[in-house]
Amino acid sequence: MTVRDIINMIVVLTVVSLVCGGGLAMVKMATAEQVEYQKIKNVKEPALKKILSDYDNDPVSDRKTIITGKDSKGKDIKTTIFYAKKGGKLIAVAFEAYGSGYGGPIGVVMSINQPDEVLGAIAATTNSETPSVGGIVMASSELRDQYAGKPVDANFGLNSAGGIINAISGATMSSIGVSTAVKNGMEIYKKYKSDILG
Amino acid sequence: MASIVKEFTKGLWEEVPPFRFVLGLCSVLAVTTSMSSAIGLGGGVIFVTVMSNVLVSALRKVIPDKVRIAVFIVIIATAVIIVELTMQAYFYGLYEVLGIWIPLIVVNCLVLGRAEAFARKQSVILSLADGLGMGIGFTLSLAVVASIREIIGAGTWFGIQVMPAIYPGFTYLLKPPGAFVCLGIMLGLMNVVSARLDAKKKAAA
Repeated sequence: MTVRDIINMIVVLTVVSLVCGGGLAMVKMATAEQVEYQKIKNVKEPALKKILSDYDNDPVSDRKTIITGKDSKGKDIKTTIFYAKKGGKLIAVAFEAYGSGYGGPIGVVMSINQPDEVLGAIAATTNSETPSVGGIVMASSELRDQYAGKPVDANFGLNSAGGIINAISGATMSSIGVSTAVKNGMEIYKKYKSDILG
Repeated sequence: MASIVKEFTKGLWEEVPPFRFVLGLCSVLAVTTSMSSAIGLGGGVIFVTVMSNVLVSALRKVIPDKVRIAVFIVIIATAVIIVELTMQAYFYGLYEVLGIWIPLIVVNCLVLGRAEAFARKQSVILSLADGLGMGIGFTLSLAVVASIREIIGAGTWFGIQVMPAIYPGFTYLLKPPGAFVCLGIMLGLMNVVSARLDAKKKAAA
């Protein structure tokens, strides 16, 4: 094998890989937006449907991502806001916030009705609670119903901590998780209201 | 022209990949529980065999022999990722169902087999015909196995109820052993039919 052969191999392999890589980068860019839409549509929309009602737009298309603070590594935390409209008029905004439960983080999506700024509904999304204990809290309406119709600046802590929410007995940790998620959500809403509604 | 047709049609019967060469079996066994997943994967494989055959054939004079497998794999992997991204963007439901089987098209022996055995020696047009024929043959084979499994196993076809509502289903066929049984029966039938056809040809000659 001559040096020429070796160089030839290196050049061909490099060029083929570069062209393929470049092509793929273009395909990736071309599909990125659609892929993100599909992901949200398939993963988040079922939960959004539970908490938003009476809208006639596609909240997954009408979404906006805003930066809500930084995490411990200094990276931006992004929150995606979904807008529900009827006849072109904004009737509610929805987004997801997190709290920590018994088994790890609990994700809760919540909707805030506009313009009167009361909590519309909440629904748990991701959680790793024990299915037979905390899982029931996630699925039952007992906890969920306590949130509906409350103004955004209500104290969403448990009533043992001076708040307005009654914990589900036997699943205090999960109740706290949901309640902190909602509290965090309200903080985000109040702090970034101008971004959200702007 | 005749040779183009010949290269195309050989993939449909004489050399239909899963049954004649018993190539690409993992995915045949795995995705044939329903018609929609079988056709979805089949479509992906058609695209990949065509694209890899055409590119390999077009580059056949510049690819050094010693690194050809590496170059083939780069080309095949590129085609597969295009399929994966497209499916994720436009057929998300299918993408969720097929999951790992889409990236695994890269190692489907059928695709590399056609690049190595055919495309690197033949012209672009013939390679295109070969890739298309083999891909469609593969898809049809998937469709036949999937039809048997879905209709008899679940009583549906493309998710639509075709058996009477009281049909209890035969879930054995939807499980992995059922896939082997179906495939075995198909292989046997193919051989019986082929043997008959050959005998007729001989008698005629």
